[in-house]
Amino acid sequence: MNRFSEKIISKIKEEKMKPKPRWHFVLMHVFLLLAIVFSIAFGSVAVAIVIRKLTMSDWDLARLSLGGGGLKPIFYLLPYLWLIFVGLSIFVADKLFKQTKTGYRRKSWVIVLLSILLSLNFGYIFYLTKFDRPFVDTLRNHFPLYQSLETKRHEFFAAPDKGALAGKIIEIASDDIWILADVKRNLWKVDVSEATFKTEFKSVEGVFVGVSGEVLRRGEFKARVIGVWDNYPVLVVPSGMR
Amino acid sequence: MVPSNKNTDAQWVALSLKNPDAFGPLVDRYEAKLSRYIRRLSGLEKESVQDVLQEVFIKTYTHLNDYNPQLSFSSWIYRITHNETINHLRKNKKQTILPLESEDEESTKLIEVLRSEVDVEAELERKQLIEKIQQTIGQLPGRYREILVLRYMEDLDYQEISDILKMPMGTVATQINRAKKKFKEGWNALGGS
Repeated sequence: MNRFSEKIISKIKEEKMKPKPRWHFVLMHVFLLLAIVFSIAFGSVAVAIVIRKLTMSDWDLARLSLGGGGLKPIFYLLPYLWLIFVGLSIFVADKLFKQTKTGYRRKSWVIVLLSILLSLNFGYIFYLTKFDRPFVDTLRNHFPLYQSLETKRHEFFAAPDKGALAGKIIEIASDDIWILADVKRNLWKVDVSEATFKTEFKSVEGVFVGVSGEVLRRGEFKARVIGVWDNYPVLVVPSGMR
Repeated sequence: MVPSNKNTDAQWVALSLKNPDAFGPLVDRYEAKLSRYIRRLSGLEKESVQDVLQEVFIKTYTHLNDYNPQLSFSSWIYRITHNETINHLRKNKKQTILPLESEDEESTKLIEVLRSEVDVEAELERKQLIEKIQQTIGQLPGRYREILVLRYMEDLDYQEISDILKMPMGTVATQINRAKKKFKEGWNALGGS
């Protein structure tokens, strides 16, 4: 040993240094892998929400309310926030994967492609199993900003003058008349006597529907086609209207 | 396992985990190489180089259990050295000058590689050439300088550089080409030869 190595060994001995135990590094690695899994899982939830929002949007109604060609509704209704979250989760997964022992040897596009495929795959499964719903419900219930974003999005569907009306059934007044609270919180008396239904659904109070038709007079709407919105979109209705 | 000068790095690592004295031969084996590398990367004075080097070996020792035998020990300790040097420079915010000695083999190699990238007037003296190269390299972003040092002065292959800088081999090749291109731009911006 030369003088320098002797100095190093002396320092190690004097300060009673020990190599950090193996489990310390194993644990760090496990945390890193968990962070990658968490990131992909979050991306998958975001994908599930994107799918749900796209499939649940009433595109016929959107075309009526927004006007313009086929692309305009898509431009307005794409869930940008959740698409940003998908991108963010893939970016983070890539950065974390590069921190693994030999992850940096893989090309970024391979990791990104793999992350996208995993997110799409699990996102679709989450969509089918409705795993994403508690996340959205939590956001709606605890984050007013998110709720107002959603409300704004749904307001695109409230354009009765253009023949589009979306909202919640407040009351089934008779076989032909429903009372609807639209997404802008206005009450409507909707004549459904000559309406056709896009899909079969149980028309009961509390169900969200999209109605195309025409305004008869102030507060009255004649329905031509009715589609259900499942029980998903948020709708803030003053308590007196429920 | 019996300690012997013929032991591989991985064998010395295994021995060091049981007995710190076995770490000495590893220090001896890498001291000169890493000392040169720190100086080239940082342009630090001898005392500061020794300080960084000591930190490198202490960190290597305390992290021995993190050594991945899939990598060469050399790449691993170079990576630690690289990170410690960069940390030191960040803390001290020091302007660095690449030490290029006109006589040493590694400097000559880098000088010739960079010289071939640009037009150099025949009458430019070697001393002036070196000063100009140093000035141009001094203005390059740190990552380009690092990669030029690893490739042409430390004479490492793409796989080793990939393991030290934690980037794919394809990126190493791209970065080397970009570094040369940036060097050429910097050289021309300084008024060519």
